[in-house]
Amino acid sequence: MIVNEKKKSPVFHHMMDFWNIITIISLIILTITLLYPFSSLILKSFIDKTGESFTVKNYINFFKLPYYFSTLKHSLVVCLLSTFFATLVGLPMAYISTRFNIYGKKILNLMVILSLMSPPFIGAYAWILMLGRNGFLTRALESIGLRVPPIYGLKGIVLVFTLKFFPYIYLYVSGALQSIDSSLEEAAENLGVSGFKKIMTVTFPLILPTISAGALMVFMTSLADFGTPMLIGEGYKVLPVLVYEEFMSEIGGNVSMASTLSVIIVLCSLTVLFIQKKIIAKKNYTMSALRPPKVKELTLGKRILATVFCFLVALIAMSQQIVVIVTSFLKTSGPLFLKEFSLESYRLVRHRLSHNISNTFAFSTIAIIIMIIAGMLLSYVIVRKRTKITGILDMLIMFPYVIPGAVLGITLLVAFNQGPIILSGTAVIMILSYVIRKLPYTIRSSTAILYQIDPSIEEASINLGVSPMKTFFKTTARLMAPGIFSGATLSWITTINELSSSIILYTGRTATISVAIYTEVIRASFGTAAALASILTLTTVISILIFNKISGSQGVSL
Amino acid sequence: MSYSVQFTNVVKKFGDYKAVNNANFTVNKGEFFTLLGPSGCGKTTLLRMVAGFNEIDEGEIRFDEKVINFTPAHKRNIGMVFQNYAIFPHLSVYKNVAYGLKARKVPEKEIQKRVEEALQMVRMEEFRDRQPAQLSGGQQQRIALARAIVIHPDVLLMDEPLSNLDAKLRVEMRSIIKKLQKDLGITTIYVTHDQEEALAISDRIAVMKKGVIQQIDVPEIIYKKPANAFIANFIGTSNFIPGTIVPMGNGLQHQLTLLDKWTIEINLLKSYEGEVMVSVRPEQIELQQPQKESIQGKVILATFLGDFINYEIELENKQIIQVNEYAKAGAKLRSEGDWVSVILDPYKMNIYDEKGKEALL
Ligand SMILES: Nc1ncnc2c1ncn2[C@@H]1O[C@H](COP(=O)(O)OP(=O)(O)OP(=O)(O)O)[C@@H](O)[C@H]1O
Ligand SMILES: [Mg+2]
Repeated sequence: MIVNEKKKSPVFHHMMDFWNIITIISLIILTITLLYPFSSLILKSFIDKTGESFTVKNYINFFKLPYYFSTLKHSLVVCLLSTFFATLVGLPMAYISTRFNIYGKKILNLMVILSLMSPPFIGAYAWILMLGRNGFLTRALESIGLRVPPIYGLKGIVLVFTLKFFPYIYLYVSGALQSIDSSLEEAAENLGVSGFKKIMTVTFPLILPTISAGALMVFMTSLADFGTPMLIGEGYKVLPVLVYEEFMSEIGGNVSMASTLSVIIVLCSLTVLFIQKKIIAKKNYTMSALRPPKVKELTLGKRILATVFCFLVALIAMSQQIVVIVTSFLKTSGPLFLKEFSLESYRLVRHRLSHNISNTFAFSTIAIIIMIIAGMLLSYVIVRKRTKITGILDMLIMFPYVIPGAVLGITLLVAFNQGPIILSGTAVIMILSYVIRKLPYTIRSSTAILYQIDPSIEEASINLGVSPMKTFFKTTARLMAPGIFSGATLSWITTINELSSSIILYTGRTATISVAIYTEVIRASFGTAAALASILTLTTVISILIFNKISGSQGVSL
Repeated sequence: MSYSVQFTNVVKKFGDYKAVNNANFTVNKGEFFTLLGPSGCGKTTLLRMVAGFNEIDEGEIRFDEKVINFTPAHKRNIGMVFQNYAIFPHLSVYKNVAYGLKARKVPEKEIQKRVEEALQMVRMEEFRDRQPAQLSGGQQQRIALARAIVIHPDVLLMDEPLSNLDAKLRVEMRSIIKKLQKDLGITTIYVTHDQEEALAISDRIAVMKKGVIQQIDVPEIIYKKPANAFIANFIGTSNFIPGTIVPMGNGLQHQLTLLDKWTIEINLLKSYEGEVMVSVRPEQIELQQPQKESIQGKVILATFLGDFINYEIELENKQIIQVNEYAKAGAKLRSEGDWVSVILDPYKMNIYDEKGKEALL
């Protein structure tokens, strides 16, 4: 039981004051930037089209009209199938790469992270280039007599999601597999249980909570992603696409219906999160390997086979990026790529779209600075000053984890394009949405590392005569740095690649790279889109490499 | 410069539970004072109140005359050695020890001199440039000690500083700490749940139970005259044999009967009648050839322990007691199943009331 110190003596005043102020300020900011917008959204969902009277008609319509309701079913089918296949791919790959001595593990890891962090939207487009009606792979296969159905519709969405999101399973599970103490599996063998049976009875149950956490991420991101289904869904419309269309529709968007749909998506996410937390993650085994599991030496033949398998999967997952990069260097004629190399697309980007690039970096840099500072202070409040109030703070900060980007965009826009605070069309609202949505990454890894820092280290410093404030900045923050850094790297990468809320919030002046990729694809200017995407990919690679260099670890941890 | 530390009606509450319940005592200037008690009895809580990490809910703590209740932790000039050492993992040995001096804005020259000195005292001078990760537990422990004393603290606090070390190192560190403390003359409050360590190292010991201080005295008295059955049981090993007291006349003279067999006359501290618990240490029981009119028992286990032999003896009431007999030259090991007489010395036992709360002898 942890009972709070009553704030009575001045001994604690100084410190409590500072952290109290931080807590109060954060709560106020979150109320304005999250609670207020979200309440506005909910309110809006109960207001009819004319904007006057209170109604539940939106909700009734959603469940009554197949046009709306089918999208929910579609979304659920897509998410379930994607989660299933992503697990099917990610799990064996994680096992093989952690337990056997395959070649090039570091490169494999980087490839997997890259396919997860690929720029949005363009990936789907690359798949159309490969496997669309006129795709080069489609045609190549046709020429050898293989007719593959084109990628559009449900199967296409599931394929792209599987390949894009299996890295969650892979990265989560690899981490967990490495933290199972080898004695556990040895004990099983010692008891006469080995091989597949050992995996099923010992290893699998131990990593099940981790698998479920990874699966949750796949499910949530599949539910939130709208770029992919928009491009290749064709008739198969999913919920986020509907939200986007309702909101942005040329012929007078229906904001209240879009709000209703947003609320429904968030409810779906929350339900899934709840199921995962209550049922599966409950059995969480905290493990830390004293002796990490042995890496099994394979015979040369098997070793090559295992390596080929892993790299093949990673390569397929990365193929869209390769296509994008290659096409960015092709000469174009209107929407068509010619078989000739040129830097024309990059030249065009420099002339027409350089402000998108500077926007992305300016907004992301400001956002990441805010996230680092907030991450440092808030994780400290959450971990070390645990009270009911900071518990609420924790929940509020983590809530955006389950809000799809498009929904957050709509939420902010609904709240801030009228009423007391008007931010629509400004850079502020873009940065705000980045901070709100990506902060959880930084907070998560900062709190994780803070839990590992013994509080008596801080007490030792205070005891030696350094004031609590100074101790925080001199010692605690210094020890937290690796965790903050790793989380911030992830926040940074996902921020520069952010599309789904930017697309709702941007105006001509504030458009970012990912927005430009989207608009260029829509305008059928594929070359410039590919060039922009390549710039993003390159930035992502460089960021990860810098991170690895500084931290000495192999890849950001999710 | 060292202070005495006075506790006046000190209380610490966690919710409704009083983790420290009305502590009243004084640690004298330069004294090595130990808080001893089982896990969860409130030792750490009391220590942290002195350090300033737990606030004082009621009562006062004074350094000499000065009330420190409201002095912030970082201004108390207290040296503290943490149970898990709390070495700064990102700083070298030298910088760890220099940390407190830097905070006090001591000139660089003097810092160097004092750090060297402190490292010498704990015999760690050749490790000054190591990183903490490259140190063993015992070495980290000594750095923690050096870091605490280098600031010339008014009071030194140690919370189970030796509990993470192996037995041999523990004994070695024990004497280092004790010598250092005497040389420097720092008032020291030491926390442990290891009674042997407490007896070995302390000038005086306070035994705690559930937040309440049970007895404060020098180690010898704590061992020989435990104030209640809890202490008798917690410090060392005690055999508790049930007995009956009947007053003889109106004075303090009473008659004690054990196991309906053995009766003696005895002067108690106050008049009493009824059941009692008699507590005797294993080494204060003598074993003899069986004879009538004495308590008898059967040897059920003999364990040779070098200096002495430990016997488990089953008495006639089926109670099993521990007896230690010195392995005198030529004495033969008693065999299991042997019958013996159990001889008690009235001057070497303690008598407590029926509940074990109060010493009657
Ligand atoms: N922050 C806290 N909140 C609530 N209860 C606490 C807190 N700290 C300590 N306690 C309780 O106060 C009592 C005394 O704890 P304390 O840590 O002082 O014990 P201890 O004597 O040092 O034990 P140990 O030998 O195990 O270290 C325990 O019952 C403990 O559960
Ligand atoms: Mg303790």
